[in-house]
Amino acid sequence: MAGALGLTTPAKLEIRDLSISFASTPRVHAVDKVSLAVAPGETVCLLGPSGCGKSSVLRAVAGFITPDAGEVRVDGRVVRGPGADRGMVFQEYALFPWHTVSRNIEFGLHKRIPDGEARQALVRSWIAKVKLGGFDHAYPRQLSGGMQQRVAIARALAPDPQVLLMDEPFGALDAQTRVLMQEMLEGLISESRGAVLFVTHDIDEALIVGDTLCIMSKRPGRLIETIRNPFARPRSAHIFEHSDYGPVKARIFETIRREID
Amino acid sequence: MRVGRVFLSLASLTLFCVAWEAGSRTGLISNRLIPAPSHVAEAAWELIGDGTLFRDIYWSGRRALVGMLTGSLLAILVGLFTGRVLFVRLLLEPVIQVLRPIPGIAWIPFAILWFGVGEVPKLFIISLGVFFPVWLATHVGVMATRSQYVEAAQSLGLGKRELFYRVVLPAALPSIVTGLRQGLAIAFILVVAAELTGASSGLGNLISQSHLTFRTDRMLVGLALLGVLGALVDFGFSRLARWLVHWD
Repeated sequence: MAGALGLTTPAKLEIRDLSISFASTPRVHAVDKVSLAVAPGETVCLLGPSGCGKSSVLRAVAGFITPDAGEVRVDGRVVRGPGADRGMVFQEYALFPWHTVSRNIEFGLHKRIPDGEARQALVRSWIAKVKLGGFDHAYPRQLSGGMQQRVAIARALAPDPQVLLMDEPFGALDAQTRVLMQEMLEGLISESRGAVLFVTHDIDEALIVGDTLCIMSKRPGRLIETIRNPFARPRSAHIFEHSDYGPVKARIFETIRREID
Repeated sequence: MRVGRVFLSLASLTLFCVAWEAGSRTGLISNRLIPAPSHVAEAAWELIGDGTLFRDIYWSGRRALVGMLTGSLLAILVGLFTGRVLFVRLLLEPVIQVLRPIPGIAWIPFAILWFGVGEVPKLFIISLGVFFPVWLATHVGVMATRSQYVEAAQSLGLGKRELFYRVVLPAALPSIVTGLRQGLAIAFILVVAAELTGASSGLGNLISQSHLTFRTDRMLVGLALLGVLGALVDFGFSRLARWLVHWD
């Protein structure tokens, strides 16, 4: 099976003919036969108009919802429910308010690293990586949105998951913070060999974060176009200054606009 | 600032007692029906002297505490399950909702019929009264747990049992603590109610026995103690609550 990049490396994450509907009245057909693959170290952005089912695809990969048809495989194994091999970052951070920054990051590490000293060392290294030194013992409510999301990213990445799932993680942040977070994320995931599936409706964001952009149609969501990001890693907000940037963005925008109209 | 507030509280209480005493001495307040603070203090001194006062405080406190612990532990356990497990909710919630509005005191005749006299019927009444508000608060708190906390925890590898005590319980804790505070107030009411209807010890018994002998000064000792102890317990609990849900 070829990856979304067209490479022949075995996919880390594979989604095959995924269809999802919700048992509301009338029944909502959210996702229609979506197939895609994410190679190790690759970041795929699911891009599309709001309500197109991109979050549903992500939630099915996480194992929170059961698809009507199709399957999700991680390293060849079929996903049957939530698991620690797939880390998740939510738009609303979802930090545990009763735990400090360190305890939040430590939350998923107990089974993986039984030794307390080693675990603490890993937590401290993650606090440094997301630039939250000195906030180890702060509670989530004492932090800004951007800081909370950095904790959430560290919490999801610390157990070294095979797949990182991000559901519009920067949607609630202001524009400047968002760009800084995108650049920080770029740095963090380029160190990992995991696969990243990133849901967004923001084309600028997709072009900074994604190696591959998968554009979805309006509901029921299908994949209508897969684009290889023409800008090479490491990417930052500097790609916006590139002379190709305008035309690339305009082309993606046209594709999405046809779905909204 | 803090010292100032304590001083003002003491001043307020002193002023109240002084006004009351003055009312009694000038004959404005009947000393027979409402004895002056000085008489109440004398009666209290007498009761301290023969040891009955501390015995009564001990027994009332013990009943309230044991009833509170039994009722609330059971309520939290049941509430965690009715809040989280659909089958248990469907099985138990309707029954609990119908039993819940029955005032605790209404059970007293049955409690005596079933358990006779002694400690058991009192503990039954208090536990039952405490159970319902604590159950409701736990149930509602668990149901309101943000699904993203659960999903985040599942993605970090937590199993069903771990989810209960590492996510659902702490998420519901602020609500549970509110329920416990209501439960404590109810335990206080019910311990006196249970003692009034038949006991040989306790502050409720002090009041009812003194009533039979028309010792209004002793009756007031009982009432004043209930007031002071109740306020102290509530204050202590609010400190405990702040420590328990320190993140809120």
